[in-house]
Amino acid sequence: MISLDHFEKSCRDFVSNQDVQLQGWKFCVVDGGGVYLNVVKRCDTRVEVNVKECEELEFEEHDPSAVAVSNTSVIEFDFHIAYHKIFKVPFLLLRATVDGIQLGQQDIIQHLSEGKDDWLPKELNHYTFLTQGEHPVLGTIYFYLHPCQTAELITTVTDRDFERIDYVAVWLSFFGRAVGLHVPMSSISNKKI
Amino acid sequence: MSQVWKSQFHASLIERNRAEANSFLALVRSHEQILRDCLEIKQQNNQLKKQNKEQKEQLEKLNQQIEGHLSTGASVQITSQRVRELEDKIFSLQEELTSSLRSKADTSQQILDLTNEVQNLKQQLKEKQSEIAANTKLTQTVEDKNKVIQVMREESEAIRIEIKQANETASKLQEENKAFVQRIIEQKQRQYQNRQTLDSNNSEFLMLDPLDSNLGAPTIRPPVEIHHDISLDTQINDIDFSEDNQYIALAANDKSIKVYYTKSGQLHSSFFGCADSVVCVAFSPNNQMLLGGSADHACRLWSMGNARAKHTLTGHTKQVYAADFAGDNKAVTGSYDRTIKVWELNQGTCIKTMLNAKSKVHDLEVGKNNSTLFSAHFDSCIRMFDLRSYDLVREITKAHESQVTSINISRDDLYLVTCGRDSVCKVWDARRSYEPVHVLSHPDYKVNMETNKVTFSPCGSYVASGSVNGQVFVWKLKNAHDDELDSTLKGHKGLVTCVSWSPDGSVVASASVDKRVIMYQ
Amino acid sequence: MTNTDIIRDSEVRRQIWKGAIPLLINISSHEITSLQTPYPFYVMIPRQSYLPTLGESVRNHFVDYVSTFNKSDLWFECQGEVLKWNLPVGVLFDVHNTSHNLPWSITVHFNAFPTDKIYKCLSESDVIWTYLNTLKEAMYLQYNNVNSIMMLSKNDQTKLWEAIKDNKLNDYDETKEQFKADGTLKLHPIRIVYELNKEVKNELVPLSDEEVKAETLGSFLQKVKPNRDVERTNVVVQGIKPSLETPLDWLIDACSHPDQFLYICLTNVINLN
Repeated sequence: MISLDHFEKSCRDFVSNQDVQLQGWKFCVVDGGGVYLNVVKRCDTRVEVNVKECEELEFEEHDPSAVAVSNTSVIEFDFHIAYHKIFKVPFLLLRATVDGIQLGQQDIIQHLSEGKDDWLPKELNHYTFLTQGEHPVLGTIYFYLHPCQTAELITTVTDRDFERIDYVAVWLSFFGRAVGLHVPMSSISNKKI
Repeated sequence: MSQVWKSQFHASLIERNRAEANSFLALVRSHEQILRDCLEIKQQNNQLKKQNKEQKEQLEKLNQQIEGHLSTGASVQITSQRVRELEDKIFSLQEELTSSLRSKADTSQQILDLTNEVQNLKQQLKEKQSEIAANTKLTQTVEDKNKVIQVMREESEAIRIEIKQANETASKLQEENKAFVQRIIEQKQRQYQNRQTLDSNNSEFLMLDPLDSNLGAPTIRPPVEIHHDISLDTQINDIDFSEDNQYIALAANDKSIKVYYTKSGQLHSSFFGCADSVVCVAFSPNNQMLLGGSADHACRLWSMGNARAKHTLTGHTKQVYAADFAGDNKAVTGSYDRTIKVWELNQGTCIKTMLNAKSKVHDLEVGKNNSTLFSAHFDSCIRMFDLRSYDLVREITKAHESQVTSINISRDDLYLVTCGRDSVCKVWDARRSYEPVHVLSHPDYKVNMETNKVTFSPCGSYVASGSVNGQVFVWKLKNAHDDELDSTLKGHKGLVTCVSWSPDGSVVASASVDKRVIMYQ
Repeated sequence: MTNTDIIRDSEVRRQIWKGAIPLLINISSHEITSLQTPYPFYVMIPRQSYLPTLGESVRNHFVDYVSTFNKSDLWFECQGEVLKWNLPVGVLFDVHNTSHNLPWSITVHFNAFPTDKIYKCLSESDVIWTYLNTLKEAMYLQYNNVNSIMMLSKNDQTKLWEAIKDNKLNDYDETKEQFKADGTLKLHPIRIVYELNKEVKNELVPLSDEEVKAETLGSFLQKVKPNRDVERTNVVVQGIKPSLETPLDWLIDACSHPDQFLYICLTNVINLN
């Protein structure tokens, strides 16, 4: 658990690292005082939209939800790191769009797992892994990795000396792996752990 | 603390529920229900519409078809002509129809008749068949009968052959019989001739009786003269001559049997073995054996060459007063124990004990062909037995007034002579009537002994018997019931115990209580 | 507390759980593609339930009249404002329906799902999951421990959900025993919901136990939203305007929703910070 101020400070420290900046991380502030980290990632992928959803549609010309299946598309991931007021930890929010169309939980997981069956631990399904929720700052709907276990995990890994570590960097090194975000070593190495 | 806020709250809460929930619940529910019903009705409506549509379509189709048909009938004239044509056609068709119906009726009638005929024929057929069946049965029976007849014919054939054979055998036997009779006659004649020659040889011993000068007559003269007079130490109870006249056997009180030569009057041999007086004696037909019945309850058999008894026939429980041979292998004994026993002489065993003797046997003699037996009894009966079946064949009761003491059969088996204690001798017809033919008596003739003997002469014309006074009475038999005393032989001084006539008729021997045996010639 | 008070507390709770709202659901005329207009859809929904539970029946009612249809694209709005279904219906009603017209008229849409503003609801499991997440948050605030929720059996989850849908207080209480945790209560989960600039906002204002015990409703609001216009703005809790003297802790006990949160709605808000 960390305080909001600590989170803010840790975010700033994180972004100040050059390698981190190279990855595309931005520190955002809104009117009213909310802060968060944001990065956008693009990759080529074969995306197959859930065929079932397609069948229920009758195609109309101007229907924005009509889906075109393309063989090679660009998938855009929008990652946010925000502070969860209740659990008092950072948590990872994300959205994925293909050609402007948002992907559902299953598709996201499918992409992330790249077809591997054992990518997700058995206890989790796409529900429990990714949940829908409001962005604490923006108010809009994102998918997020549930933060309820975060505090415990970080506490066991570090020795509660939160003040002295790059909390965000350390936190991201665990949770970012799941979604393909890699933390540059330089962001953590210059502080004692 | 005042709870105003609470009651306020509670009141508001109640109000809220009333306004929001309670007011609308029923309404919303009924609305739902109405919607549901409406939906159902819509569905039904749709279905009905659909059905309606389908039916309308069908109707349309039919209408179209009708219209189609109607449109073809355009011109009327053509139609009317057509109509006429059609009418004509109809008429002709109707006529055809009627005629065909008529013919159909006829055909049906024919069918009916034919069916009836068929029925009749079937019936007849059935009857015929049953007749045939009956016939076959009869034929079968006839065949069976024929077979039976055949069999019977064969049987009768066989029987005929048998009969033929039997006849042939019978005729053969008859011829044989004739031959045998002839032989017998010849033999008898020869015998007679022999005797005659013997008589002529022994003429010195004969007293020529002027009455009987013709020696060729079959009946010989009874002897009159004393030929031998033998004195003994003992009383003789019975005498028997051998068939060949050579020997004479004497049953003696001294428990022996003495055999003397008939001619010479000399002793031949004596036979021993009895434990008590010998009371009767008999020669076997072959003259080889002697049978002696004794007061020791036994009878003994001797062979002529051996003084020791060959067999002892034990079994009787009282004195054996009568014994006789029935052939060379059998003997018959009669005893005071009221039984007659038949013995087989090879082993010396008793083969039959005849209890039907019923009374003390005083005397017995085996008759015709060794198959009949005559016995004289204490109860004044004469009994005749069959020696094959051992049956009592004839019983002559009250033959004498008193006991019957002796019985003798004539050589021709035609007559019996018996002596009774009533001092009367009777000659019986042994062929048919078994009635007394002669009744012989004399004032001097008296019988005391229970076993007083009487004998025929071999020719059967004379009867001899001893008397109390020591004389032997000889009667002559002429015709039925016609007899006379011929002579009396004197010599003994005491009661005559027994008398016997030799087979050739030449000698009469008698014994007496004076211990003497006299042979008369 | 006197005897009558005790009875009343449970009685209050019982009455709270009887709450239901009549809904009038219409479809926007733009979306009607058939020749006939559909009947409006009237339905009663418990105050403590959630809007997506109606999804199936709404869909069935309107399916014949709408050409394009994707069941996960179903969303509701009231007078142009998107209804955030992750809040209980009662709360939404209290916030949106200022005129208090009954039945509450809302419009259902089958197209143009506003993905930014509300979650997509593919099935009832999504609703249950959202509810459970809210419950987890409440539990975390109260006890710093979500294990009891995580360990609820599938049966219990279903029972819980059914109790909420059908207003079954007894079932809810029974299941609550399963996930009630031990320990000191750390923070009470309280949300303040209000509409501002055509947008419904809700703020999380957790209070510690001692603080809660000290406050009344009025004093609490004064602390948190000092700028509000006391005269004009209405304070609505569970559809009722309680007296401002009402003790906060009692209010929490009586009026918490099944997700363990106390929702305080403010309407007629003009200026608020």
